[in-house]
Amino acid sequence: MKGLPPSLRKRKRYIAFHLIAEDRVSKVDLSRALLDELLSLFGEWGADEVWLEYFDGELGIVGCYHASLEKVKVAITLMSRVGEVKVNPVVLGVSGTIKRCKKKYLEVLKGASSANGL
Amino acid sequence: MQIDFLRFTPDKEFLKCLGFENAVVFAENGDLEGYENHSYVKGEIIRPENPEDLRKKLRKVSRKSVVGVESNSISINREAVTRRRVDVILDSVGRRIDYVTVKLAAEKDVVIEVCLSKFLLTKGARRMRLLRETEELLRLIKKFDTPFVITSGASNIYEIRSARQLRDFFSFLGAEIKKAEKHAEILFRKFADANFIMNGLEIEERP
Repeated sequence: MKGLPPSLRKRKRYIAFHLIAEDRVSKVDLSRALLDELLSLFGEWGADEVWLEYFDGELGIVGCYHASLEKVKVAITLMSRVGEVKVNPVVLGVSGTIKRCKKKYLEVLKGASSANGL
Repeated sequence: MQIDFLRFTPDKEFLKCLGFENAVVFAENGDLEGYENHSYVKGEIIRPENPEDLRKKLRKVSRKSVVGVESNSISINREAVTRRRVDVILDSVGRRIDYVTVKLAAEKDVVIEVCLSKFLLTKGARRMRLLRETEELLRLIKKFDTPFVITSGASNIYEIRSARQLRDFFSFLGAEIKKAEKHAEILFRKFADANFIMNGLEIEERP
C-alpha cells in the first residue's frame, strides 16, 4: 500500500549472498528460481514478499520483509539449481538497509583475495 | 568449533571462507586423496547389505578413522548403534531410522548425523516427506538427548553450505544447534587430539 507512515510500513531486511555457479546465471533466472523454491516450500501465501534487489553475476542482495526472513533464508539455502545450472548460494549476512548491506558484505568481498583469507 | 562432515576433500581455504574450522572427510574403504595435506580427520563409510555383513566389515576398519555406517535398513542401523566400533550413523536420502535406534544411540553414545545434502538432491513430494521425517527425528533426539551432528554431507562443492546457513536451516526445523556443535567437536577431538580422552578429561602437559 502506498503512502503509509513509516511506523506502519513493514520492516525490510536485505540478505547479501555470493553465488558459486558452474556457468553464467542471469538476474531474471535467479529471481525465478528463488520464487519457485519459495512456492515449492511454503506455498503461495507470502511468496511475493521477496525480491532480488541486486545481482552482478556473482554477488547479490535479496530483499524481503522482516517477518519472512527465516523462510527466505531456508529457500536460499535449498536452492541448488538455476535452470540447468548447478549453483551454491552462500549467505554472507543480513542487514536492515541496502547501503549498509553493500558496505558491510559486498564491498569487503570485492576487495578480498585468498591471500588475506577472505 | 565448527566441524563439517563431508564426502569429498575440499580446499581448506574454501572451507574456512564458509565458516568451518575443520572437517571429517568420509570415503568408502578409506580411499581419500589429499586429506592429509589439509589436516582433515579421515572417516570410513561402511555400507553393509545385512547385519552379518556389518559385523564382518567392522573387523577390517582402521582404529585411526571415524567409522560411519550408511544404510537404508532399520535393522542394520539398529545393529550399528550397538557396535562399539561405530562412531556415527550417516545420513542419506533413503536412510531409515526408528524410535528404538534413537534411544539406543543415546545409551551407547553413537552420534546420529543429520545432513543438508539430502534436501538438495530431492524435490517436491519426496523433499516434503524428508522435511517431515527430519523434524520428527530432531524431536526424538531432543527427547532422549541423543548425540547428533548437523552437517552439509556434501559430495561436491555445490552441495556444501556455510556454517551459518546450516545453523539457520536446522534451527528452523527445531534442532538444538549448540548441542550439535558440541557433539561434533567431541567426535572430532577424539581422533584429531592425542591428549583428548573424553569430554572434560584430557592429558595436560607439564610446563
